Amino acid sequence: MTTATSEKHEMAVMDETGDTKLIWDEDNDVEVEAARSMFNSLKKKGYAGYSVNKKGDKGELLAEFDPAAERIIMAPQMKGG
Amino acid sequence: MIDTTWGCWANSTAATTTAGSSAIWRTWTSDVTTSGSYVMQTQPYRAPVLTPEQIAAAEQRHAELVKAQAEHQAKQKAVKEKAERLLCEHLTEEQEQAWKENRAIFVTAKSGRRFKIKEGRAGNIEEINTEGKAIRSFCVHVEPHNVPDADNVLAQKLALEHNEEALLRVANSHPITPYR
Repeated sequence: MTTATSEKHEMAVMDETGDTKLIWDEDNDVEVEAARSMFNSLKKKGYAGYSVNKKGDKGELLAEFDPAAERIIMAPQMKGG
Repeated sequence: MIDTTWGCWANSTAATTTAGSSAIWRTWTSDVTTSGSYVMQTQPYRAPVLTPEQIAAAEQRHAELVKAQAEHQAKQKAVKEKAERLLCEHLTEEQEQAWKENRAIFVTAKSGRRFKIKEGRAGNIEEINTEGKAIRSFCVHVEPHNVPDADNVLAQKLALEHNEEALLRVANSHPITPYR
């Protein structure tokens, strides 16, 4: 999946500050690789990555990093209480 | 009278009563008059006398504590608001309205099951039946406890919508009886 124009994509990582955002340009290889590296690192820690849109009506659990995703939310591992 | 009381309490049988038990009782109470009545020793409170430098230092410490507390509260408020914004950005209009009105959202999973997520962290998910009644509660939350509650709600929503089976596999669940 590719976008027609160069747009900024965003990864929001949930943490104690609310969230920390990482932005990448799909056409910038360095930024894409930095985002991919962050995604993979968090996945190893048990985080789940969801590709979402800002309306809240679209989403998908990501098995691997998608540089074309409009926004990715990284949610920490869930545990039964 | 006190000696008699002690003797009865410490040694309920005459065979084990010893002369020493009375001495123990006196030592324990430490202030016994010759007539056997207990004397309460009290001393009037005297406030410590502080030098002007000590007072100034104490006032400065207090001011620093008040400032630190205010900064901590402001930071916590900002964190909460940030998490709230992230949550609301990813709610449908209907969910956002429900959240603002009732601090709860309704989520339909891909399986068709419907859930209510209430504000909170643990035990805040309920499965809703076709009649709109809560029939089961689930306790599952994000692992780090320092993540704000609104983030937790968003993680629960996303998991129910897109990763339902994995979420419910790790959740502790309990049926909700009509009596609860």
